[in-house]
Amino acid sequence: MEKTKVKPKFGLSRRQFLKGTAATGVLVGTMGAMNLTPKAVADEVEQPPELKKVRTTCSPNCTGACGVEAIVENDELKAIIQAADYEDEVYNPRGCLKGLSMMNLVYGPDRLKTPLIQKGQPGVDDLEESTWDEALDYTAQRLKEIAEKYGPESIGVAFQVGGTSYVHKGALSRLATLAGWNIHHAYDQNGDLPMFWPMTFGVQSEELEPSEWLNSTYMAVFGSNILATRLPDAHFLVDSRNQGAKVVVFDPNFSPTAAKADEYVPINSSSDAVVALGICKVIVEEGLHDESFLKTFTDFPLLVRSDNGKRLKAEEVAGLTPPPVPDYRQSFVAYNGSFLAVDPEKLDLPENIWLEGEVEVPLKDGSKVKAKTVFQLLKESLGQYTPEMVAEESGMNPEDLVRIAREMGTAETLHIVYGASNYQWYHGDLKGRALALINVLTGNIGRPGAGISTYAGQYRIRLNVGEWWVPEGRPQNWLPFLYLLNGPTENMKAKHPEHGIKALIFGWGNPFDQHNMANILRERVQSGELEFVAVMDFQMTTSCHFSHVVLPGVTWFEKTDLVATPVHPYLQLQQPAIPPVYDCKPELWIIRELAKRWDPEFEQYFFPGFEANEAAEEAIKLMLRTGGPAVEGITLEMLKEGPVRLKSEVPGHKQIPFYEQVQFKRPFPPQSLPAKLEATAQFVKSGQIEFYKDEDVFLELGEELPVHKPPFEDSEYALNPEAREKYKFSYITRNGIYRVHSTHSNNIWMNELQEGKPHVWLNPEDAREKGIKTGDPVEVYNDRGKVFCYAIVDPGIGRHVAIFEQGWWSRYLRGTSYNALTYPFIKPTHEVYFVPGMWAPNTAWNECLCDVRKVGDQE
Amino acid sequence: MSEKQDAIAIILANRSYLYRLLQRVFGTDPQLEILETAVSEHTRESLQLILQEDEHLFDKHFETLDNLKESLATDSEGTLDKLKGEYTYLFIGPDKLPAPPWESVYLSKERILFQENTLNVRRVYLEYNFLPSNYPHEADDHLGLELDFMAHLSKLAQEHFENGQTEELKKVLQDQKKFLDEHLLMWIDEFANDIQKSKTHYFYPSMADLTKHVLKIDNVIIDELLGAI
Repeated sequence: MEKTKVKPKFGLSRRQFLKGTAATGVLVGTMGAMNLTPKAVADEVEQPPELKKVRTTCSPNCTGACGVEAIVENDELKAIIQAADYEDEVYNPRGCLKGLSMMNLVYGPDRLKTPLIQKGQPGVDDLEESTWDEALDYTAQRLKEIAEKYGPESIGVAFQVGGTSYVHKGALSRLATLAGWNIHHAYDQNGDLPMFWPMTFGVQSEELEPSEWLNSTYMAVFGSNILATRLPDAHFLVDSRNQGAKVVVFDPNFSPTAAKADEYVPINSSSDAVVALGICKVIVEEGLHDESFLKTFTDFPLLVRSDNGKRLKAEEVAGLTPPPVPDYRQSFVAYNGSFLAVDPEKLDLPENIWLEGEVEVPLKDGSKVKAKTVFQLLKESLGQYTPEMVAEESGMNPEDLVRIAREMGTAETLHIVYGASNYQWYHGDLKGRALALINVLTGNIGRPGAGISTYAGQYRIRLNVGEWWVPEGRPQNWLPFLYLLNGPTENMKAKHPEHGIKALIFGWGNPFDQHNMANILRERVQSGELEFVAVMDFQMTTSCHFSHVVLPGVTWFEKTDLVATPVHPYLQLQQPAIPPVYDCKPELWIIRELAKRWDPEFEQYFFPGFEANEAAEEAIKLMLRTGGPAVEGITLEMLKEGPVRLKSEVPGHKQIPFYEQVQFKRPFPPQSLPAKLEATAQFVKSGQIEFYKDEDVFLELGEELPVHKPPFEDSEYALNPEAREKYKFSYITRNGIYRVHSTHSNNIWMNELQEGKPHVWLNPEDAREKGIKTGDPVEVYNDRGKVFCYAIVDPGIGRHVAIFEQGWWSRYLRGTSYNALTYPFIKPTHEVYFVPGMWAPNTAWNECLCDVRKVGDQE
Repeated sequence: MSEKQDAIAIILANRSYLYRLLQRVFGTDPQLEILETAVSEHTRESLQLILQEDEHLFDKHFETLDNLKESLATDSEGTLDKLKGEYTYLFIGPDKLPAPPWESVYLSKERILFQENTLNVRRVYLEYNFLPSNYPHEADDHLGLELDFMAHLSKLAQEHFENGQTEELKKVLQDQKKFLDEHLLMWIDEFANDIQKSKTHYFYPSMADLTKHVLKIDNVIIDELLGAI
């Protein structure tokens, strides 16, 4: 660049040569657009406002964990913008209009201002304002009374989505553990636990990080609406397609995601298993499967006894000595001309091992038994899924099925996305096992761009949190939420409290709208069966109306916390941009105050003497120190500077599920935090990917291998045979783009974008039959409940489906509850083991039948 | 008044004039009287005084101004129209701006508006009780606004000098220097450089380059003034 020449020393004197005149007069005219004016006297401020920008993490239950900058003027949040500071540029920027309009909630009309106490009837009378001391003393006193009468395990605790708040939500876990209360795990409560994961891979759930989609050459999306539910990452799907990947969407409805696909395949509701198994049949028949992969990483070579359907154990076979194995493992048997005791800790079977065939096995007791390999049984079982049969069950064209099977079988990298709306069905586990089979058959596991992912329940724990969440490793009580609704079952492995749940303490959730059969909770609190309910929230939700005590908490702009979800690979902080508004308090403070009132000894567990944000920093330091390899070397100071990528063993610290298993031949499963490995490894005792489940329940139900079972037969029709004729519509409660579940239900901007009205989407032919037009007020109902909304007639919706966008607070539904229609079905295979949030009965929201009528039509 | 005092008065008057002129040039769409002032002999002399132009470094820019003067004389309406097009294309849109006229674009990684720098600039304006006239609809760090701030303070410096308020004069000059160091000079290079890439236009790229040099030299002049008073 040219240099400006300056002669400072003599400049001044030289400049006198030219007599300047004050010629500015000519410029006095209009000032133009860009000029400054003196502030009006009335507006004058002694001090200029204090302006600052604070980097925090938007942390609602979408778990998108988008970095945002809060623009703050004199301690008031004025604007929120995307931080766009991720080192990996493909993640910049991220965010959505919901997060960027959080001011509407932080300062909205529903914002809680003080603690509240219900002195009348919950859900009927108004709560009364109180001081913190009154509310906390009263809560502690009621809890102590209930614990004295029924035991502390009769107090239930629910906190949503731990991964978005390791400190404050962890504090509630910490107190519940100390006090011996029962915890309801969000994963199974929310229906976020895709049970095929523990059954097949021994893990809670897994997913490719979104940037890995760019490495896929084929993306098959089964009932996942990424364009609505993964807004900040949806571009990766389009980017992947634009750079040449084929994107195929299977869905009963033409979703926004289907609109972005290369190919949309409409299929009947919950018929994904039959489609997947039809695809697998073609792949196996045409030899498109990866034999070497199957021999090394799956249970396909293992022998299964023909007499009892159980896998043959090494200890049963004459002449075989099983290797020493830990309790959670089992040595099974494979065959390559002679019998081999398979070491479940090693993935090293010889290449000549049989994948197919039947042999006679001499047993130690002198008898003989016939046995077939798992793969042999699988091939036989796949025989029924002919293209014609698949077409019959799913509505899919047989030629398309064969073509797509060949495409998937020959794809370089295949990624399958299995949507939550799809696995939250009674047979969601079978569908997941069938879909995973496509990936496994073709060796599309554990490498870049390949795998099967479930992008819901994206709040699994990413680091060891035990030191903070579980003080001194004390035992914890866990009760899956479905038992709270159902009562105990015969086969349950979790421990049901003798008197049931008599008190509920929850935070960061709105169960009186959002949970399965929300109306049951309302009835129980009003009948007194549920004797006491206390809630922490920052807004006056429906659940607050049904609570005895409301403890006002804060948003992610008002406190310090640690966030890491699986949605993207970064560890981040929530940092206080503004002080808590009104008389609200950070939850850690509330919990510490409650702990000390419950038992003065407990205060010491919550950093007494530290102000809430300082205490939170101490908890973060503790978790970083003891968090294990994922946070190795990461410090609080680094996080204050910006997001830091979590560590993994994959090059570039990428998140690729089972990379270590496949690349380093390590036994399955990898650890699912926070559970210990031995707890989850028992799910896949062979140390391999298991498609053959021989626990008795699986054998009794005929589900030892993935099979297709049609919806409603074992659920709605079994519950009430009349439902078959009476209710022809599937009731699907999908996520809308305007809410994060029930958060933002009252966001004025969001409501403006959807006429402020809850809607149900119907197929035009169905609507015509019922005399319903777009805009008509309608009721969706079944024997259990009804919901009030407005119809949208949409040719993209499949036949006999009523789609309701979930998350609306009751007050927008004329007091009805859209979850009143659902039912807490428990599938017996979900009770084979119990590890909290890992193998537990999962809520099947969409396994629900209903009918639709115009308001005013005959009931 | 001594010769030195005279010299100071002249310098103060001319920098005041130039800042006001440049604010008008960048702060609003082109208007005939501003253009006529920009191409006037007075502006030429003022620029030569401030830039100590004796080495023909800026000949091409003066040539631009001469050409503009000529075309204004022959076809004022057409010329004005053309420059309005140039201004809109460069500073308003609708296409991607070749050199967006806001500080935060150059000083933030994401190249976006309304960043921390914007707030910092606003804070400085508020020290002198100024706010952008269309606050809060325009980012405070627009080139036109930053130049307006310098113009106001230059005028203030003149007044303090005339009233013999030396301490006040020093304070204003120090604040101007600080504002140059912390804001205008942080991005004017890149702005002036980027705008040269817009090859189809001629007036504003030239003015941007002149502005760059005026700002840099004024930074030195302020030191001289502070040493002299």
